[in-house]
Amino acid sequence: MPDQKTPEQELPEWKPEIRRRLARLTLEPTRESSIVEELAQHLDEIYAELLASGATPAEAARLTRVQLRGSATLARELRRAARQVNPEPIVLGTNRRRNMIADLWQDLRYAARTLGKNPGFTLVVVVTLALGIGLNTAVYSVVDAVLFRPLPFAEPDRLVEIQQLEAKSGFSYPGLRWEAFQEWRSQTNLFVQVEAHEPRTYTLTGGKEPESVNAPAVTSGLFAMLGVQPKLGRPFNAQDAEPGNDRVVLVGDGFWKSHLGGTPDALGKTLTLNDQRYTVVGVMPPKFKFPYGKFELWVPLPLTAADEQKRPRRFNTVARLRGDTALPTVQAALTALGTRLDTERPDPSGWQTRLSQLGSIRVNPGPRRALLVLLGAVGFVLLLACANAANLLLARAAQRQGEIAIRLALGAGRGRLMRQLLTESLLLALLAGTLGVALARWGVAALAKLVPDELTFLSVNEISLERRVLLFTLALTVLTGFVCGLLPAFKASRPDLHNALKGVTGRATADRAQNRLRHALVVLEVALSLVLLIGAGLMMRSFLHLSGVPPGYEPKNLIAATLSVPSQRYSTLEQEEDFFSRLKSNLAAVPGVESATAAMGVPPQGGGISFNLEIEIEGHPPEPADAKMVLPFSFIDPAYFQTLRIPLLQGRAFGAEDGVKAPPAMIINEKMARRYWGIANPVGQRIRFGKARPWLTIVGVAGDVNLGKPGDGFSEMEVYYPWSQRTRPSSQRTLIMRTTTEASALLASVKSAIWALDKDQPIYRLNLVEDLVSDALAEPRFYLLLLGCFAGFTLLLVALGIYGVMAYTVTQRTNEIGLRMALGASQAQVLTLLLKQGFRLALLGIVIGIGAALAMARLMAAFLFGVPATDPATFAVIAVLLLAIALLACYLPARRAAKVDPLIALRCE
Amino acid sequence: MLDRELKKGSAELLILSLLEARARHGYEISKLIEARSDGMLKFNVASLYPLLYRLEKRGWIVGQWVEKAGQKRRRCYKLTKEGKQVLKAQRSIWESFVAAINQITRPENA
Repeated sequence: MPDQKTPEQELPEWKPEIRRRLARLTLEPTRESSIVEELAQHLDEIYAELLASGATPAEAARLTRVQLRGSATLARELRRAARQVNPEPIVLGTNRRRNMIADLWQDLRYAARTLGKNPGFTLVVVVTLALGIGLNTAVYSVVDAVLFRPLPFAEPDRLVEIQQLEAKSGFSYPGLRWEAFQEWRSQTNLFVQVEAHEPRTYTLTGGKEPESVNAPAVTSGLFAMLGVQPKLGRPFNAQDAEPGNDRVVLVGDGFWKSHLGGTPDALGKTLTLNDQRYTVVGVMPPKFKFPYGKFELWVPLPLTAADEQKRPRRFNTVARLRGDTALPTVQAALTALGTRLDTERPDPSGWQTRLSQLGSIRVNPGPRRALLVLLGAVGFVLLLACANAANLLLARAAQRQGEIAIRLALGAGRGRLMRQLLTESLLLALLAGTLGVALARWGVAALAKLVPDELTFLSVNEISLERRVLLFTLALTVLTGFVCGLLPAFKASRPDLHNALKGVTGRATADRAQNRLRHALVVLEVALSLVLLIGAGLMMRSFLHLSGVPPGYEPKNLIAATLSVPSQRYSTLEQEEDFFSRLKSNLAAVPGVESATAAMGVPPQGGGISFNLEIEIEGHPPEPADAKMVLPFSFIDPAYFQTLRIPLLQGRAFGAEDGVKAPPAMIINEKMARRYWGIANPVGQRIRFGKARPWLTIVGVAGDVNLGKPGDGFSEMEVYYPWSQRTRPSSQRTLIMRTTTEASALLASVKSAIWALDKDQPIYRLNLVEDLVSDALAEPRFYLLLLGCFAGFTLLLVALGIYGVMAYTVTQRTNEIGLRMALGASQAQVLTLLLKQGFRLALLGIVIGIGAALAMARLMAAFLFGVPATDPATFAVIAVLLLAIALLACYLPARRAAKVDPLIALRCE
Repeated sequence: MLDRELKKGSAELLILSLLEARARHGYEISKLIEARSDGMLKFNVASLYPLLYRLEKRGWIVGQWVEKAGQKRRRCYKLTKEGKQVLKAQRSIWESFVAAINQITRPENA
């Protein structure tokens, strides 16, 4: 092309204009000036050409400047060009203006069309991911409600509980002494408000049956401090706390509906609590729980010095921190104040004050850890679902190589293509998320029914699919879309052009790198599922151990009725004894009842637990281990062992000789006898629990019974004391009856026998002991059920994953198989060849999985009973099971391949 | 005008093709595209140079300032070894694509 020779003086100076227009171009100076020079030359050429074609200089300059229109875009494009290694091509003849929304919309429409064309593939991926997302959402809804969600009160992070801690033992007591409570109330520089509540149980009469109801007494300002108002009526006020005015009650929404008809005229009605009439002044909103659990009634808590003189107590104390006071600051002030108080009015046990966020102790450490482990496990399930989906996407990407190559040829940049493919996986994930939420809705309802009380009784939040859970699901869905789509999109956007081109009209050729990736994903799936299956397997063995622990008594045909007698009517020990003695006679007289006895509790609900006992055995040197013993105990009567069919191995049961004036007696269990006396007979030996306590004489040795729950970590030693030597009323006892017929048929007769003696006596709990045994295993059963669900699902996923990969591999190798068979390979040889490949992948996954499971053994150990976390039998059985399933998943496509006609296989090419 | 997508995809291929025979500068490339497409395709400054720099960044072409006696120095671009391979692949894809499109869009015989 000849150079346009234009006189210098006729050429406008383009460089300053270009520099001005590209002011936002921030490149290295030398490079920038090179670009400016090059563009200026280009404009010179255009200008000269325009002059040559007859344009005036002004007209030529104007038309040349048109070339610099959109210089902002030009600067951006030049910057991008300088930065990007793999940028998108530019459309000829246009200034590309990016329109993110339009692009996204276009991507979405294209993705929807593409997925719609493959309904089978879409359905499999969506259902796989939906199950993973649904499971995660359902489990997270429980974990969120129990552990994470802020309390449903106003500014819950400013609410604190003030507790006292026994410095010696570290045992915390949820309450404050009267003086301390008053002292904190005066600390207005730290607290906006300090309020109290105390647990109370009342007998509610006047309905169909007398009921035992929990009705916490609360100070008048407590609900206002929480920021909760009654939905009907009024809250408590200061007058309600004055003696004589305190016969008012607030009721919960549930109680209002079940007992008061759920109508506004419930206000002003009266309830009979402990024979006193209380006026209903308000109805609390639905789902309001305080302090926790299913409390449905609240009464005023009078706080007067006179009342305190009469009955020294400790108050559960809740306070609202002043605006900007930090928790540590308040804690330091409280400690200083506590020290001063302790000096002025020393407490013999040396209590210290401790502050904690309200609701921070929502669940005990064991269940807390278990919930987090479950959340981790369900995360594994989702990861597995993602691996499966990624594998399916990879397989599909391989089939689409031709299409992708054409799109590249048509000018789609790799980044743009990746974005398109990611949009597809995100769309799949969003569909899965939507379906997952529907599944989770059902799952949450099921979980709310299944979740054991131990996990939720401290929680004031409802287990529901609320906004936080849905946000979690949305985040999870987007993450899922990225996780399962990123690798396939990355691989797919880099096809081998030559091979892909062939693939336009023929079958896509094997892509080694993609195969490696698919195989790696299968290995990952096998490893993940092995960890989950081992977890479920260990839980299963642990559960079988727990169920298999001999109870030490005969739970069949036993009824347990727990009664709290009102102290107003049975205020002395004699009155209480008389009532229970007559009740036992009444119950024993019920047709079908063989015998009746009274105890503090019934296994497995146990009796009491003594902490920090110092065991001193007469004639034995003290052992360090005995310095701080945790010992389950129960008060029982003479018929206890006979009724529960607990063998008495040595000595005697309690009897009439164990009266108040007789030497204190006790019966120990066999484990305790073996520990301290070996094979010698301990009957007649004496024990005391601390220097200040009296000596107790052992009168008998009973068979071992677990008074707590199996595997709850308490000492396996147990002691029994006679009711007849108790010096204070206990108000609550459990009556246990042995029946000669089906126990459930006698429950109504038991109720009638109790109410025949006292028509207003509520029955706190009435159970078949067999049900209680089952309930004691509710928590491990819940974990087992969930882990079992996860494990089943993962097994299905891993089988599908391996099957998918093997089927794809077989398709890829059809020609090779045909060739081998044409050259004389037998069906068995082809089958072995393919099975070997699957076996290798499964084995590698199992090895990695076993390593991971061993690494997690310590985490699992806390939940296991009677089985080590590295139990070789469980590991071996699960590994073999998984290997068998993997081989079966390989066998089906391999068998199909082995049956292929060599001629057809060869023709495939 | 040709469809946007088609032009978009062909831009790289056009430039690489024009540089196959010999090194050329930007203005020459834009004029050749316009002339050989009978005015159907046009590059303006804002499109051409970023694309040239990108191709250079990818290592498919290389630009050098060339000085000839009595003329201004010019930045000329030539194909690299890798650029030649890419051109071969893209040309092959393009031809297959066009052939496939022709196969489909050709009127059917009655």
